[in-house]
Amino acid sequence: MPVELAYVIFVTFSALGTLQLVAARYGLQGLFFFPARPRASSLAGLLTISVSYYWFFSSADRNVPGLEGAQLTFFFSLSCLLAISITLTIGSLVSRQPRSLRPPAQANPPGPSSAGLDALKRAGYFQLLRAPLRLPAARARRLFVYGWWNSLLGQGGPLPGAKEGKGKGR
Amino acid sequence: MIHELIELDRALFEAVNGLAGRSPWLDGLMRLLVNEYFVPVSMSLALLALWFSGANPHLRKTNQRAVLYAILAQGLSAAIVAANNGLYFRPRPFATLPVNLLYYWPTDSSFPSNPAAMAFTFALIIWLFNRRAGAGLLLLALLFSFARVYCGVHFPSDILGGAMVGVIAVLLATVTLKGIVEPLFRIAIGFARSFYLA
Repeated sequence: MPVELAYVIFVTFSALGTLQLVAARYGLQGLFFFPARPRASSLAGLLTISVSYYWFFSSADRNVPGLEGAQLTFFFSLSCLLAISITLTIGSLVSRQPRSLRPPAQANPPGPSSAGLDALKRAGYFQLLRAPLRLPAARARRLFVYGWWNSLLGQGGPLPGAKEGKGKGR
Repeated sequence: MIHELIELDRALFEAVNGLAGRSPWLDGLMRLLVNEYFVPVSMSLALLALWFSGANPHLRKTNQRAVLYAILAQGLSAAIVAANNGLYFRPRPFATLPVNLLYYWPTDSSFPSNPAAMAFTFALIIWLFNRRAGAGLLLLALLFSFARVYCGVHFPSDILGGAMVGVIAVLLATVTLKGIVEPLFRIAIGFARSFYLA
């Protein structure tokens, strides 16, 4: 196996393990491979790091001319991006809830208190990215189906954009 | 005076490198630590972990600034070493002395030690922002440096030179360039934060 490929595999798996350890330590559930099981995520992280180090250093003699400094930086960055992408994707997939159990999009809009990485404590990455996209669609539905139509008919329905109470299901 | 320092450097090198070949266990450990993969990857993974670490947003932002400063300082450190290598060449210990060589024959200048510069840059800059993580990295940098001498690829003065390069790079990044890079780092962190990545 070429050293470049071995290095990418080694760093990617080590980074995956590192991310699981950090996610478990800080409760970033959106990054967990094992939902709501921080101990399992920690163990998986430690195991992944140990196995990848063992495999890389036992599979060939690493004290021979190999990658140059710039190549090491490039392949490390590439592998880290790959590991982050894999973690965000798997974390989003395993933290998905069945549609029937999902709260409405308006019920938990991402607010300033849960901005940034803190938002990953309660949802998967792609759910968070989709939340702002779902919000206008839900509002549009409300606008046309209930609010606007009712107000046009003068039947006293909720006005477009009117507050319906947080946490109330659709 | 300079002659005495060179003699001291040589004596220190012989004392440390003279340990090689006595214990297979220690040789194995040093061979693991000496290469371009084990310590550099471990330190870089520590930076990755630091980016996502922090009990609250304030601490996390401090860690993330540390990571960005570390990347900047690493670039400066590499530039200083490259500039020095263009001006001055010092032969490796194995080219001038009988050594116990446990590594391959690098062809670049021995002084300053590029791996030591890299390791001390990472360790010192992280230590400025996060003492606990910085102390861990400093220990790793010291072990890495010791392994380079143990395996016969650097003189102790090369390591000292590398550590000095690390100090200069850290000062350049955190003092001289602070006014320029701090707003850029704030923007970068804010941008990543808006995508739930910081």
